[in-house]
Amino acid sequence: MRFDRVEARQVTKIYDRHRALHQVNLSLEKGQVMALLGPNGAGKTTLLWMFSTLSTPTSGTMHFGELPPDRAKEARGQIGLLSHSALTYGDLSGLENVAFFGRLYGAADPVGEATRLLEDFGLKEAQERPAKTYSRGMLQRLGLARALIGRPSLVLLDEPFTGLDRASTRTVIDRVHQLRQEGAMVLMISHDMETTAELADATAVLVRGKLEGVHQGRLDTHALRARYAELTEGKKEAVA
Amino acid sequence: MTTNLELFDQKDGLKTPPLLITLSVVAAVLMGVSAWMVFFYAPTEKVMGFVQKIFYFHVPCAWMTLWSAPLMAFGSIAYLATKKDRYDRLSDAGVELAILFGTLVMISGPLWGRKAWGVYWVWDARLTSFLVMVLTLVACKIVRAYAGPSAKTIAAGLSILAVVNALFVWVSVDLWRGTHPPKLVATLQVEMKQVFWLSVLSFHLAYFAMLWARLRMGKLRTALDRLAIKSTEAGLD
Amino acid sequence: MSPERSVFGTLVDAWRITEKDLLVELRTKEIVLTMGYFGFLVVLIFSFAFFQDGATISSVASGILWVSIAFAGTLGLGRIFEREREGDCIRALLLSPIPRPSIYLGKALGVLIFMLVVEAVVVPSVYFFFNLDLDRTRAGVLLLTVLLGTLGYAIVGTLLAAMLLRARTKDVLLAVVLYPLILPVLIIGVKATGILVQPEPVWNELSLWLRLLGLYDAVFLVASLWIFEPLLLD
Repeated sequence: MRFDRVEARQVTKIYDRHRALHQVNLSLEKGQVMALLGPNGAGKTTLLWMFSTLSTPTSGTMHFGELPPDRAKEARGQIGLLSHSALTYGDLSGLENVAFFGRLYGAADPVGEATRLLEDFGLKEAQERPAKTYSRGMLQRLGLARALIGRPSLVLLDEPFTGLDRASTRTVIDRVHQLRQEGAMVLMISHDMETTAELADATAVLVRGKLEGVHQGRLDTHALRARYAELTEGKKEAVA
Repeated sequence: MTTNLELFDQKDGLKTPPLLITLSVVAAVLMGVSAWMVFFYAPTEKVMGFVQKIFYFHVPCAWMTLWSAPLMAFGSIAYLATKKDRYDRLSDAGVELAILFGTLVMISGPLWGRKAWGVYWVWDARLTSFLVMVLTLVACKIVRAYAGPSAKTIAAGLSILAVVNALFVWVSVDLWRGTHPPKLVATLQVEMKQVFWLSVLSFHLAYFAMLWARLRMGKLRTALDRLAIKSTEAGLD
Repeated sequence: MSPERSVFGTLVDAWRITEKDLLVELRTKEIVLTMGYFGFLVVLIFSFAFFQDGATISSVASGILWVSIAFAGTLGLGRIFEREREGDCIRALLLSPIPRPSIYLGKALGVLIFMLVVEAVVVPSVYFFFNLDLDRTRAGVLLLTVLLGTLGYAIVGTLLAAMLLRARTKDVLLAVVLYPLILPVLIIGVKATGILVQPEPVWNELSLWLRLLGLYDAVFLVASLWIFEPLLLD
């Protein structure tokens, strides 16, 4: 069951003596690419996990389409996550990894779909090699192929451009454009202002667990830097 | 899910409730009185002699352990279902009380057993199930201390398993053999019964005072955590 | 996809996870080899420790068998879940639409298969070092006992290893938490095997023990399936 809107309402997350998120309100619409910016330790990854359903808010609610918040976990098959690590098995080949997850997502032709995705991400030559022999950039692309095998409505990317060379960065950027055209939602954590400016339809800035501002609409690199500096200025630990 | 971060009233929420103090004092006095009566009022039993007096402590301790089991099972199940901190505090309090009274049972039991059966330890149904439960609950406390962010959830799961396991052991070892003394209370002399029930009463009062105090401590700790968050955010760290 | 998929679907998804674990293990052979060799070493050390008057005391064989299985099992449990933690794969599994019980059952079946392979080494070593002499019936019942005991071990061990997946000091914690909970399996296993190695086994008592072991497996399977779901949310 696809959904075309996600929303965090008054989401607060507390770990012991640390408040990672404080009353965050954020929503994404169908076909929207949103960048999530903020200094280290701002709670960006925590917020991304809230959107992945793998973490639940201490207070506040998550809304996936029409699902009531207490049934949010039913949305999980429609969410693709690319995290810091690739979320793949080192001893399996690239193809085996993606096909394995394809089967779990109930793909009609897991091997065929996996082959096509790997080709899209330039991993055709390496698809029979164990994933542990992949370089950082290749793993990142493999992770993305894995995240997309279930044709997700919501794609969550945690710093997708870290460690990628120019060509790989290009591949990922093109894919995000394609996802937008297909009507998926993309929430992306990034430190890279240029790629963010090129991709984002909206920008949210998180500082110390609080949402400092959401800018709807595109910004060029220059405007984005200025806006980011303005929102994080004077805030403790604000090191971009 | 609650958005209210204030656990206590501003005015007098932090003061120890007078009823808790009263309950603790009464429990302490009654404990002293019943201990005196055990040694100076209750007659010495013919077969077992002086060792029989352990019975006045051993049996109430076992009952208190049994009280703790449904308490922590309820707290743990409710915590897993709702993830509300208050159920976690109930579960933790139950676990600690079960460890305390369960340990007392296992110290007093063998002293009796040495006289009655000639050995300190037998793999009797009740002893074994108490031992298994206490061991698992100790593991539960260790997990709580060292497991990191998901410790509360793990502790809840473990204490449920501890209860299930204890029930299983009880049933299974009972089928195997039972050397435990059968229900003794009915056969006691009148003075013995009086002392026994007084002891049971004082243990209950002490138990509820401890439970209450432990729950309050947990609540205070949560409030302190929240306060720490606020002070950090206000730049006071 | 709704989480209320059929029982059959749950089992199919579980098998996919087991299949994946078996494939990885066939490539690396790491878990089964280290567990099997360790189990053999434990039996060897015990047989040396109980060596008296030119022979090893066979009455302790049943205890040694189960202690070796328990030790080797702990080693394997830690490793099979370490594979899910490397590369954070467990998150990808949890995010996929398969029901949570599938993940649990798939992992438990994998653990069971690995342990049975290891026992193919441990049981004959005990037989050999402790000079056991079993006829065909008793050998068959011994295998049944080992199977039931291992099943219980896998059921509880998998749940605990999954629980402690994200704990900081999980290797130490797993042993601390696992042994009290599987104490019934060990007690019953030791008792049943002890009866079997005698020349004239008491079949009545033995059947009681085996039924208890089966009951343990059933009770903990149900409890584990029920506890597994809420455990893996943060």
